[in-house]
Amino acid sequence: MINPYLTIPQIQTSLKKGDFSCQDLTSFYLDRIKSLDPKIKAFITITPKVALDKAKEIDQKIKDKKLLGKLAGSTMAVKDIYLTKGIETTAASQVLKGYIPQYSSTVYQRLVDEDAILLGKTNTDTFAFGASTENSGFFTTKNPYDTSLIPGGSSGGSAAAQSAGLCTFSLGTDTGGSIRQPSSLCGISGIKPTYSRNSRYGIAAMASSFDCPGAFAHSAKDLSIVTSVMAGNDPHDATSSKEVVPDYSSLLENKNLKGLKIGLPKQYFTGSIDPEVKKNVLKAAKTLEENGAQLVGVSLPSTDLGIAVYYVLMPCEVSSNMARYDGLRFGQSKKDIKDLLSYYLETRGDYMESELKRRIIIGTYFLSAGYFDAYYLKASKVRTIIKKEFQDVLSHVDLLLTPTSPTPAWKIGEKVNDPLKMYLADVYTVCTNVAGLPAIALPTSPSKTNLPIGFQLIGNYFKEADLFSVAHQYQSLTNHHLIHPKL
Amino acid sequence: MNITPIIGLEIHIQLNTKTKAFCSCSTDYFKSPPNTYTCPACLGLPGALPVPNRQIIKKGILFALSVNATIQKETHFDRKNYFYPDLPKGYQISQFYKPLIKDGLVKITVNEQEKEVRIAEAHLEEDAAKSIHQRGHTLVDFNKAGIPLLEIVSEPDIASSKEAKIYAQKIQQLVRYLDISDANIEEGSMRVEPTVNLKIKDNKKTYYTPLVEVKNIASLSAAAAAIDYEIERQTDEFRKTKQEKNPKNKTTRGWDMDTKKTFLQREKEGSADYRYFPEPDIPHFSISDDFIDSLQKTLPELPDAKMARYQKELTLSIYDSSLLVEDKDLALSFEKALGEKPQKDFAKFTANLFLGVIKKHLNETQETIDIKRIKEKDFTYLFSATQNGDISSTVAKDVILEVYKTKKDPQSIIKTKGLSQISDTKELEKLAQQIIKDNPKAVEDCKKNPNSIGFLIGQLMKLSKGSANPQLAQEILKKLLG
Amino acid sequence: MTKPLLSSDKIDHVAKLARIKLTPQEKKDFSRQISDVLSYMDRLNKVDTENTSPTFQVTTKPLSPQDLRTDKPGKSLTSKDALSTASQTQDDYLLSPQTVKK
Repeated sequence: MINPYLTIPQIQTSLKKGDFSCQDLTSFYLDRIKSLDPKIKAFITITPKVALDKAKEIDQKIKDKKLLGKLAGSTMAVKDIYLTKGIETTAASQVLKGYIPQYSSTVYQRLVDEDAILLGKTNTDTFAFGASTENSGFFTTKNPYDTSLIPGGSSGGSAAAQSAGLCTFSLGTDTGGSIRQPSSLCGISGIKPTYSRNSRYGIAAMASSFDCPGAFAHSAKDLSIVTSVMAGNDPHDATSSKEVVPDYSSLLENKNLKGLKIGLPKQYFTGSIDPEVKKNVLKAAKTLEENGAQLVGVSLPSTDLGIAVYYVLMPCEVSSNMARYDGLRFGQSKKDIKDLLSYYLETRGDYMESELKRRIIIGTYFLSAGYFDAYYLKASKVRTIIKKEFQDVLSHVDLLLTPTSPTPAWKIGEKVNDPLKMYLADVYTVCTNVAGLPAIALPTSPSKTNLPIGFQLIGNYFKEADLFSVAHQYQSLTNHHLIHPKL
Repeated sequence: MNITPIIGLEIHIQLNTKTKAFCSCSTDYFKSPPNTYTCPACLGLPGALPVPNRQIIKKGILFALSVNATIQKETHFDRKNYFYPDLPKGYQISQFYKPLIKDGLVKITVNEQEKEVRIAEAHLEEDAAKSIHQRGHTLVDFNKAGIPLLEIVSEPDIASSKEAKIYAQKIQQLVRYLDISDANIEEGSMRVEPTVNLKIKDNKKTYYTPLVEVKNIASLSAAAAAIDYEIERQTDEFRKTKQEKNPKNKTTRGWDMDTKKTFLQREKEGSADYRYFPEPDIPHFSISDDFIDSLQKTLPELPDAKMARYQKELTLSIYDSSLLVEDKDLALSFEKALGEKPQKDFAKFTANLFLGVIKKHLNETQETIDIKRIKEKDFTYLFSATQNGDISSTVAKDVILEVYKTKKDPQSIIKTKGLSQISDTKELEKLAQQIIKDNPKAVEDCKKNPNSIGFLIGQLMKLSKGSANPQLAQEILKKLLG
Repeated sequence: MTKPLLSSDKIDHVAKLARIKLTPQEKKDFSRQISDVLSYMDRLNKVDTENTSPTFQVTTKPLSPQDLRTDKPGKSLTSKDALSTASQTQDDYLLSPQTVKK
């Protein structure tokens, strides 16, 4: 019996020792998915052949004593908005159902090149539009801690798979909190790096100036290993950063907790926050304080504008990014409609899910004649203010510690008919995206009802190494990340 | 009614880069099999992103410099959103809020008068795919999708179809000199779209007719014809309806080559709602003065400057100068033939050969000049041979054409064809006696009227295949006829 | 009850611009939901941005033209791959509904 929650270094040690082969490991996960996923519903597509072929290739490398990739033996689940050449990619939408991409996303390819093994493609809110996976065009993923609850979203499929021990690590994207919020609700670790740190090429775009590919794992250390492979400039993404990517996993002890200044922004601990969430998040801060860190109360006065800025700019970008989905070059389409306008209206009207339509309509409205200045430009200016507040605060403290979600996971169906309420679930995560800062989400003590609660550390631009280091030390001091759902 | 046409021109030129504007696909689309130069980016596949080509910015700046325009150093791209099967992403990457180029000026000459046409702005954008319309459906080829375009928008400073044509020719000439575009209208690498309306003064009141943008124009003469048609149509329309321009009644009309008429394509709902916003996938720019200076240094001598120099330094006429600079390669070939610091006589001689022979030949054969076939030494040789009286200027013209066509040197052409001028008196006397013998009637005439000697000289020239020195021939004939 | 900021006409117009057919139910729901969202967005108008320049890109530094891609052709897809996911094709062309009446 293999422990499904093995970390990347543990797998590599076992492979070296010959405890199991890559094929054994891969088959183990595939079997586990087969038995547990019908309950969790994390996967849209499972790729046993791809997985086993890759595992066989790695086993052969081990046998031939060839150089192994940095992720050799690590199994991965990939959010179904990452394009995977030759493997169906749906964005969890009827729009793309059946689409077999002609090319692969850069970060996915980088992981495969380092011998990561793809197990399958995971569920998400359609095109990543949501915070619960309830907006998936196919089905809702269940929270492994309680299948009557949502796993969070949009990267809920990957988070649930991770939490349920169905993979070594998984990929998500974080546009307004879509990695950190499900991390928090599923009790796992997740990284949203600095905007532009990871290439966006080959990932169905939601909101271009916010989208951040990132990962989930069982530990901050695993996240640091995976991020070192994913990150870096990509000639196919003109906005991807040319900053050098350090080997994050070799820097895990670098940031000394002694004297570390951690800011607690007061706006993140007021309002509609669940008292237990507040208490447990502050408990995490306390742990760091007890180990030498200095907690500093700080203020980010424009925090409550974050949602407004995000929900203006994001739909604008969405409305334009979604224009390519017309069913002509790819995706599902209405046949036998002769009139071009009717063809567009019917194809896009019939295959697009409600949330998709809603955001496109909102964005189109904001951008349409006469509203650009009032909405897009205004929100872009407030974006500057939010960014500046973060920069000011981060010039005084090393990083910020905040809750990730105001509440633990909620019931499936609870907020689905109230988009605004759903949008407000992003309240603690969204400002980081507005500013483009990196953040890592980690579990703290669970609730009395044993539901995961999470917090996030927000760092300065391109200071992922600091985040991994502090997170790793926190996880060395605590065992919240070692709690797993009973399945 | 006093009618003044108000015409502005939008000119699209395809920039002659090797790769598309935002991806590495080749631009060699013309006559290539369909859909052979595409990639995720120019097909608008999910997740694909644009990566701008540095040459498009360079070429744009060169144009800006050539028309003394303002270069907006903090320029960026915007998305122009609309749906069409030839627009794969559902938006065109273009420039709206901060185009690269603003406020330029082009000087044109109309009826020997200089006139200025202001350029409002010029911006970079990507071309759409090619559509082939068939009964019931449309075929789309994405090879052309993403080819870089520079759209040059003039102010409505143009008042006639003639001015419009001259302005468009001027732009075409400029971009070819700058080597930023082939600017071939027939092949679609240059497109001209006039916007026309009329200012009408009637009973001391002034009216403006609704704006009409004309599309589907495949040549400069078609542009002129479409403008003339619109002037007439709008005049009639105004007489009938008295309708005036308002912000919502601009229309787009197509030019029908067969009927020589424009037809309504679409009525605009106000100004079309393109929902422009800054393209988030492409970083904004910061263009340094150093970069602009370095491009300024590479700027070639432009037609206006060249023309002025030909007139001043080579003392050529305005007319000859303008013909020589019309085509950049012709001008460069001409300058190659002249060599450095040419004498004025030699320049005049060479200009005559270019305009009288070479350009004529090129026009007849529809070829462009091959500069490799132009050698300074051929021209200097012919010039001195003419000066020495070794050959006539007529022969020089024939020889240079032969040199150009066959790549042989002029010496051997003159030799093998026996074109050397006969200045040998004995030789000429022999020919003259033959002529006198063969033309008794003409000889009689000549004795009565010495002015009719021309005929005999002509006969002699003919007999010598043009190689007789005409002056000497006349002297000898006169002598022999007593 | 919030005042509907988005009339039915406006929704129709925007939906047509976006090329999306809406069901009557969607139209009704969206009208209310979008109005809610719009009222929420109103708080932006209370922010003084007189002297603030907009941020369009958060971390990306402005580029100099020298930093851009060199003009060297790379590999393209084959026409077969390019059209492998197309809804309809004919002779290596993509087939679309008629765009210009012929």
